[in-house]
Amino acid sequence: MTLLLGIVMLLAAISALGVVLSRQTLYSALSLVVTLSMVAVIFLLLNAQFLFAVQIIIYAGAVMVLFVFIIALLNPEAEDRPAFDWRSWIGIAAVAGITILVFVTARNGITYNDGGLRGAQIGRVSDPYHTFSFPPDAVNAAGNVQTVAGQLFTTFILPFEITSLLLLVAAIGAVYLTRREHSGS
Amino acid sequence: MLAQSAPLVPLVTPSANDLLDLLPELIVGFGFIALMLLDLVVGRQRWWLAVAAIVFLAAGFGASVWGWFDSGNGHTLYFGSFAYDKFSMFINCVLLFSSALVILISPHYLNRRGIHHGEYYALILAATLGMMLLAGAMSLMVIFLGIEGLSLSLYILSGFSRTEERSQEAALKYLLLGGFASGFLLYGMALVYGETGHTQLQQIGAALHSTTQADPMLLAGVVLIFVGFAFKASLVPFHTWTPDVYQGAPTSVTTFMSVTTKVAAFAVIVRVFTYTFVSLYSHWEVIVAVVAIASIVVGNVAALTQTHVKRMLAYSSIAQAGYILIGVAVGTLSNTSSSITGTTGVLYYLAAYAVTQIGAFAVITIMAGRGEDLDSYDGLRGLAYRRPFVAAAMGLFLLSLGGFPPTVGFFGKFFVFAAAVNANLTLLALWGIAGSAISVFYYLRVALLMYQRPKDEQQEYPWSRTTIAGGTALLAAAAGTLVFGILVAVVFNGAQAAQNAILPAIASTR
Amino acid sequence: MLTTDVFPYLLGLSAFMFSLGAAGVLIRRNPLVVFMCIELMLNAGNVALVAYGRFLNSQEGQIFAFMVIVVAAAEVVVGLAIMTTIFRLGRKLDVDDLSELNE
Repeated sequence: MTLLLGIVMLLAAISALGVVLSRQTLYSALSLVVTLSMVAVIFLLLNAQFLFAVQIIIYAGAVMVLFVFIIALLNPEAEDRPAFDWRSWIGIAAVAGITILVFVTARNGITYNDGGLRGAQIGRVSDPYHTFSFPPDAVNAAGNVQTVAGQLFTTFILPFEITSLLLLVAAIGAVYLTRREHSGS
Repeated sequence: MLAQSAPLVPLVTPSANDLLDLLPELIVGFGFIALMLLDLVVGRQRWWLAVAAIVFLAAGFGASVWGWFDSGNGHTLYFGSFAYDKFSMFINCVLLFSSALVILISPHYLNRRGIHHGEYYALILAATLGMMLLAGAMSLMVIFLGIEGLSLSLYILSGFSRTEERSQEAALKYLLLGGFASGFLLYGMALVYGETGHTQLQQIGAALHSTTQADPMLLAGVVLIFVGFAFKASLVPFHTWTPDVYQGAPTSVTTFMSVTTKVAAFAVIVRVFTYTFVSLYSHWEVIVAVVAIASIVVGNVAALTQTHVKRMLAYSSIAQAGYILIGVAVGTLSNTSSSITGTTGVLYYLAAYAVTQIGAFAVITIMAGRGEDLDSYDGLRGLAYRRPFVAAAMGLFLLSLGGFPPTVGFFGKFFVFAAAVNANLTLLALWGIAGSAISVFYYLRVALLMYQRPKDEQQEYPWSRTTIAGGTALLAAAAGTLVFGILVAVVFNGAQAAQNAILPAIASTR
Repeated sequence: MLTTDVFPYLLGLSAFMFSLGAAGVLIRRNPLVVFMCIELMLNAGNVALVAYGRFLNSQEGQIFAFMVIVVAAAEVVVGLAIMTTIFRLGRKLDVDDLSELNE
């Protein structure tokens, strides 16, 4: 399982590079599909089955189809490859530096113990909705999607309802912006 | 296998009282949907939509005022996701008042620009709702969704003029940079969640309080969250979109977003930084102070060289955001027993900024010619001879922005700088005072231009007529600028009560 | 079974995707690709959220990530609508070409 996770993470990293470095917009989009699918597999391995499905259906499915459709519609030209100069080196150094820094900090700065990360131990405030921990075995026994849905529709009902506002605004906006102008107004 | 094990977490449905306490947001949300439906009914008589929108906003305002008295010391709704306290009600009142003024000046302007569509009012209400959610947000999720809610509406509103390239480019620019900022915000939230184990502010605050050491990932998260907020409040160095978007968007939309976005962004900055990350104050104080000084310097210096009122006001709004941020940098510090604290200053300043900035932009909106905005400095020359009352109002707003007594602008600056002095941050206050001194030049330049005799007496002026609705909006803004300046105590006491009841309450900070 | 040893690698991957996305936003000129880089940044945030949630034994990370996916979908809808409108006005899609405003 750890090996599988390693391979998937490597593929995700390589395809993420492909998104940024491809000259053709379509290749960027296809690389992004690979990245998103690999992220979905990572979700699955991290015991987030519900997110795995959502990521595949909404993200790698609907959103990327929209992207590819728009690319086909607009047919953008390939970009000239920018000159490889000092700015590229700064970019490479920044990306590599941040990655290594975060990796090292996560390895050394966070203390682990049996319960998981240190954060799980500190500041567990006496609040009925937050005293429960969700070890993967227990979650799987109760039903993973069931547990997430239970939380989603009780404790986190307010943010969940707010997402409906976002979707409505987006729908209205898309219809408004792409509608042809009527004669007169 | 159909046998069900007991749920891991007791599934507790929220009480109906929580829904009732959400009344202002519910009214505005209902108005948003109702306006979309009304649009189908009213046909060409679109000004009915403006009337309906104002009715909904007024109802929301009423509910907020009721909530102000009802909330008492405040409590959270929906298991700590949302705050029901005087602070959010104060911000709600400012937001709803500003939105109503914007809607008053909109129909005439949109008609002249030929973009009078029903979606405008619905989207204004949706953006207002997003901001109200932001004002009361007590959970990282609600903050993120609130910011996205107001941003999505504003992206569309910036591009509301579909056939005009400037407007569309403003929308695209805002969208790309806004999405970039959401990426930072989200990553910061992920780090803060990971390091504290919670997404709800009350528990994050308590978790931070119980640890003494701050580890680097947590600090990185705090900084990234600040970057996300600073973008929305258009603080230097995350301000580059501001002048372009303000200029490209339709002026009524610029009026709306220059005021309300800042109010909502500062509400959430105060709640998250001053009160939740209070135990990390020594870490973020320097960053916030440097950003405040940079905003004051860059905003004021850039505003000096502008030749268009919209761009000048955009840069000046960056400087204004810098002054407000001084109040945040003060944190909860106060050396003397004086009642002027950073948060009180911020709240007073936000109210003052809202009425003044709306007034200044409303003048540009009302004067707009057919199909174009007459916002160049030359276009304003001699305004006082043709439209004495409008010019007088504009002069008043500029004086208030410049911080002259007895306007609200003066007291806003006074309270923020006094709070800085109280907290022994005199240097910060001096930067603010120096910035205000520079700002007097460009505000007075515009004010004096209006009173210069026009070059060519025979020239036909393209200025639009002031409608009754536009006049009412100007009158309300001018009255607010003067009355709240003279009766300082009204707003100040409100700001103080709001500050005293803010959630998350901190046990003992010093 | 995964142990906490993999956690630094997961966070490293998310940091890599995040900084790469941020760099892409700054260097790429095609708005569509810039938008994809923003998606990359949001996904980096999601990976971090889910990884933290997994090892904190908490479900909040997953639920937050779910919200983020909804937000990203909504943002893409609006963003692509704006880009098609610009395209219909007969403009080449290039971030550097957004110079109309910088007069």
